[in-house]
Amino acid sequence: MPELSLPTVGLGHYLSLSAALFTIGMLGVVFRRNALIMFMSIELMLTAVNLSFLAFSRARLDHTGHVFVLFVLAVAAAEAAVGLAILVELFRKRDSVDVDDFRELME
Amino acid sequence: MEALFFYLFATLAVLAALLTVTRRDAVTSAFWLISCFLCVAALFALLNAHFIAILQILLYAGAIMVLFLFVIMFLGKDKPKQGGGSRAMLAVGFLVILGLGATLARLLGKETAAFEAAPASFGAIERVSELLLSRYLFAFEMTGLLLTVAVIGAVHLARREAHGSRGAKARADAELTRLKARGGEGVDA
Amino acid sequence: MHETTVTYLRWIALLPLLGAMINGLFNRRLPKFATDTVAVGSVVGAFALSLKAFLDLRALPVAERYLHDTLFAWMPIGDLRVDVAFGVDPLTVCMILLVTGVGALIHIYSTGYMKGDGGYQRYFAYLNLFIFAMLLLVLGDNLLLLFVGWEGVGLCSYLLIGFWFHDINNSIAGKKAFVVNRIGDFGFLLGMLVIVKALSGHVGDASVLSFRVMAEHTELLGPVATLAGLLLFLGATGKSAQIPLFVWLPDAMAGPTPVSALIHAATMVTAGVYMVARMNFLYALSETALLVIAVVGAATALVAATIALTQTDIKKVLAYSTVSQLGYMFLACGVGAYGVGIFHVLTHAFFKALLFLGAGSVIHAMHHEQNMLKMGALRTALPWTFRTMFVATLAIAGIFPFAGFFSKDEILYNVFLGNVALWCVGFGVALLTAFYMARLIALTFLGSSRVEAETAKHLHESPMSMVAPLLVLAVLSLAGGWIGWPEFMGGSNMLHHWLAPVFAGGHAAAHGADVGHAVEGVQHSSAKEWLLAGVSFVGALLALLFGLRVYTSGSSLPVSAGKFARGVPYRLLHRKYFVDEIYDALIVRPIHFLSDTVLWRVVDAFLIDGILVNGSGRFLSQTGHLFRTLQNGLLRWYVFSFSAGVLLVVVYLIRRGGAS
Repeated sequence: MPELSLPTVGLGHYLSLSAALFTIGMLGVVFRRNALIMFMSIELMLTAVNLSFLAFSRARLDHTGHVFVLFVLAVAAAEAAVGLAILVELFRKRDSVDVDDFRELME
Repeated sequence: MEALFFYLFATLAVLAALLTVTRRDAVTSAFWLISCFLCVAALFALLNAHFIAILQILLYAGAIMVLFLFVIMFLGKDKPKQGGGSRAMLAVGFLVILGLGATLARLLGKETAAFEAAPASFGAIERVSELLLSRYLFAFEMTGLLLTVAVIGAVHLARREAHGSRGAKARADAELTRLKARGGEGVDA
Repeated sequence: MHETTVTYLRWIALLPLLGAMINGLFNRRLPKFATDTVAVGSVVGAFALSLKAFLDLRALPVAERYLHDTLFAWMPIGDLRVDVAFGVDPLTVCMILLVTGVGALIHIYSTGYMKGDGGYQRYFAYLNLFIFAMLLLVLGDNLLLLFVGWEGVGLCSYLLIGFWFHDINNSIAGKKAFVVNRIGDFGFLLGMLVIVKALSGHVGDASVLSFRVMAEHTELLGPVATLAGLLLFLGATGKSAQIPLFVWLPDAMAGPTPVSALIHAATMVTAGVYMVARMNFLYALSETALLVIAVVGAATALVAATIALTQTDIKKVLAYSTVSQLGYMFLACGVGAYGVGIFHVLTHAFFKALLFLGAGSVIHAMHHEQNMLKMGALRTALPWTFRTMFVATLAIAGIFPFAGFFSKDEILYNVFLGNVALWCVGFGVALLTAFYMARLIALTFLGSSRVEAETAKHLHESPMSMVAPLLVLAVLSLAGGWIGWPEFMGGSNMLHHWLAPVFAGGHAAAHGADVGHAVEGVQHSSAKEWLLAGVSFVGALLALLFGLRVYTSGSSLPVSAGKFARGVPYRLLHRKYFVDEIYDALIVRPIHFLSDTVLWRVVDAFLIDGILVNGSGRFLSQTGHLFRTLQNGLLRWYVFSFSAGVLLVVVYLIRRGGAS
């Protein structure tokens, strides 16, 4: 097997990846109208943040990051459950999951 | 070795993420997201966060995404509508978010030195639970409470059909069904 | 000077004010006799108090003749201090006697003249108010209080000129009087400010505009004397109808005739002369100002007299005559003979009031016809009116021994000593005066009747309420000048000696003699006095007789004079040198244009309304619209806003922290 001289991977690499995933998630939230896909993009963003937490935790050899990720996971689950329930209710009202149809926040 | 795996899974994760946000069909998006999560779980493992990696697969990919898929199938096919908003606005938004990302990356990506060697027990479940049940006990309990509340909320929301404005129709339907079950005379189908 | 404080002085002014308030507030609820009593009574009461003041003053030694009554401190502000206080010295007492005396006579006359008029009570309220303001003017012991009275008489003049306001022309005349006066008042105000500026800080906490205080600080006033004097005089040209602000007086004849008699002959118009006489100590410091006053006075006298030659409305002739005689008074003051100017104020009040009241009697009989060309031979129908008016004519022409002779002669003598050129003008005006007054008498009362048949049927002499004041004034027109019987003719010239202390400080720059006496260096001989007196008398007599002759014998001189040089001179005079037209074109129209086109359309409508008011509203509205689009209810848009905000904050933190 040839020795691949890839540069060593450090904290920065993980964090850049985290940033990239976060950005992609945000693009998904802003530019997709389907509420479900928006939700999934949010989950993606949360995952990116989890990644950065763990990277820092590894760099500092401290388990606090792990604990925090645990909590994020729990909250994400709760949020997904409740959020999807609300989504279902909205769908029953408007028969659409296009967020642009829900403009009640407008003045 | 490590670096190779990192780049491999990192590329796969990014590709999967991109595909997630660009698919028309929600089910396709969901599957790509699951694959993204799996790649990320591999990255977690590379970071010695074994416990979390397992949890990621179990919870995120296994539970949350399944829930998502349930709801997607429950809601049916999405009729794609034409996007509103001018091209200029879209371009601006795109650039802004990309700018944010780039700034973050630049900010955070400075440290490129390799990780220190980690002790063997790093990332093990024992270590994590030690912290969890001592320093962060309160948060741990609160999270439990949160989950309870979420469950109650979700169940309540899903049950709303029995009350409220929609309830009238539902009750009428229920009544009709009962009448039909009792006897067929005099009731229109 | 030692001053005596008395408290009854305030009632001289306050009685007419009370009368005005009662008649003004209760108006038609009072029966006629009550209105009459209140109105006439208040003025007669004021006259009685003035007499008392005169007697009290006479009882004092000459150097201490000053009665004082302070009502309250009006404006104690920093350096400026003004009190409401009345002061009576020999000059003031002459004025208050004149104002209340002639005023009372005119009030009595008005009860007959205005009988049956719908605004009877309002008329007397205004008339009493006028008396109050005029008394305030002459009684005030400081320049600011004088100015208050000055404005007050202007207001009452406006109210009374436009008394019959249902005819819009009367209101326009009243407005014209007020506006023209206002222009003069602007000069007056500036003059006062100049004085205050010169004196403030140097007089301690004394009242800076008080006449006594100002007279004590002539060294401070020296540098500003010409400026202040001329500015104050500008006000006088407005109030006393001199060039260039005399144009309102002929139009003011639109008011009831007793008003013309009181305000525009006897009292208000003389306020300017009074002011100049009062401020003699200031004018003494400026030769220039005095020269200007004298020249303006002489010029006005001449211009007005020439215009009076051609007018056909009886009141207009008298109006221009008043302007002309006022010119005489200013001429006298301009050569330093302030006392003689005041003397003429007094005699002129008598015979001019008489002339106006007589004219009112004629107009009343002729059912408000004022055109002399439609009169003639009225002396049989109105005998008393005719006789009294003839006495007044003799007085104004300056025929011995009537009042006008003495005052006019003394003026001409003093002018001669100062400036022979001005004397020539004055003498010429005297001749013209005699001539046009003769013309007036001839056209109205003499010759053959040109009265229309309808009017002729109703000709009758006026009631006693109107004739009695005429008789009193006729006596005054005859004997009123005797208080100034000159010494060279054997008299004691009581008036001159009475007024002398007031003008003691006013001679430094006077051109000519002081109050009828010589100044060092001028040759003074009774021979000169006799000569000039004789020349005046003979000239006036000849002019009078000539005028009577021309207009009773049916001579063709008026007609040929009218046609002379293709009628150009006649038209010029008849149209009063086109002053009104000139003012209209030079001043009124440009201001109209400026106000309408520039200030209204551009500044107000476009700039202020359009840009500032509506524009700012529209700006806010449109900005609001812009911001409204941010609240579009789209969830994704909000998310985007968050991320944009986060980006901004992050960038800012990087900048500030110098990168992570």
